[in-house]
Amino acid sequence: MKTTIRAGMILLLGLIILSFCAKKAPNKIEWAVSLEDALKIASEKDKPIIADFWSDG
Amino acid sequence: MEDSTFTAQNVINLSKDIIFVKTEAKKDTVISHRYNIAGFPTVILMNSSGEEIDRIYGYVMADTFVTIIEDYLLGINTLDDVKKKFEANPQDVELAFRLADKYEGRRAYDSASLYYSKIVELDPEDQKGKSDDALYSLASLELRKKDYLKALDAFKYFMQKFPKSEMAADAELYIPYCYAKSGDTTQALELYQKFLTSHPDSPDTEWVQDKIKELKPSTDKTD
Repeated sequence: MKTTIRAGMILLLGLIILSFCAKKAPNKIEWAVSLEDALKIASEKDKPIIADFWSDG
Repeated sequence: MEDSTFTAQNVINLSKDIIFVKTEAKKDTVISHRYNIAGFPTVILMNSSGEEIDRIYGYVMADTFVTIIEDYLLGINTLDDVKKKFEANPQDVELAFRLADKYEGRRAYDSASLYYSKIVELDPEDQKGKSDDALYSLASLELRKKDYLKALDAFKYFMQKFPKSEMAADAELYIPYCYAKSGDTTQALELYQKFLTSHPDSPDTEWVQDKIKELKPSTDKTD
């Protein structure tokens, strides 16, 4: 019985640690303010860029 | 894209590893010109130095968007990748079409024309179903370049080759449009009127009637 409780507690502790460590999924896109800004961040973090060229008419 | 693709969770998830930025193309004309933006929306995937990996031209749904971006990041289906594949398979109409389309999306109209012409050459009877599209695109490219006489000839040739194509009705409209732009208002009016008679239920009826109104005064003056 004691062994089962201990195993359960270890599992629970593991799950809690995992949930803290897991990278939280974003719920919206954080847009860079300009292409210049995006290039600066991308260069610092060595990440690619997605640039959306849009027009309303 | 704003209200659908960019709010989908699978696209949002990409933002963990990719920097997203929006550019209002008509305001940021210098940047738009630098990246040869041909139309909207255009999404460009760049490396961390700002060099283009490839682009998505036109609207795409979220799932397709994610697949294309993931492929591009692996070097799959990029312009360079498709070029290499076509070099290895120079008779492949589908690859030629993809190349032409990619060049058109970059405003590289001469290269796009080259590959559209290649498609017609490879498959003159349109067995692969791309040649009518290619001929129509060749005519449209002349229109984009504002060479109305060349566009007129190209649309006429398209109609001669593929009168039953689903793009035929559009070509029938562009022919009088090209006549009008080239200064032959009489021929333009005649063909617009003919269009209204042969396509009474066309969604373009109003547009054609507007064009007729625009042209009428100039022909009245010459009468």
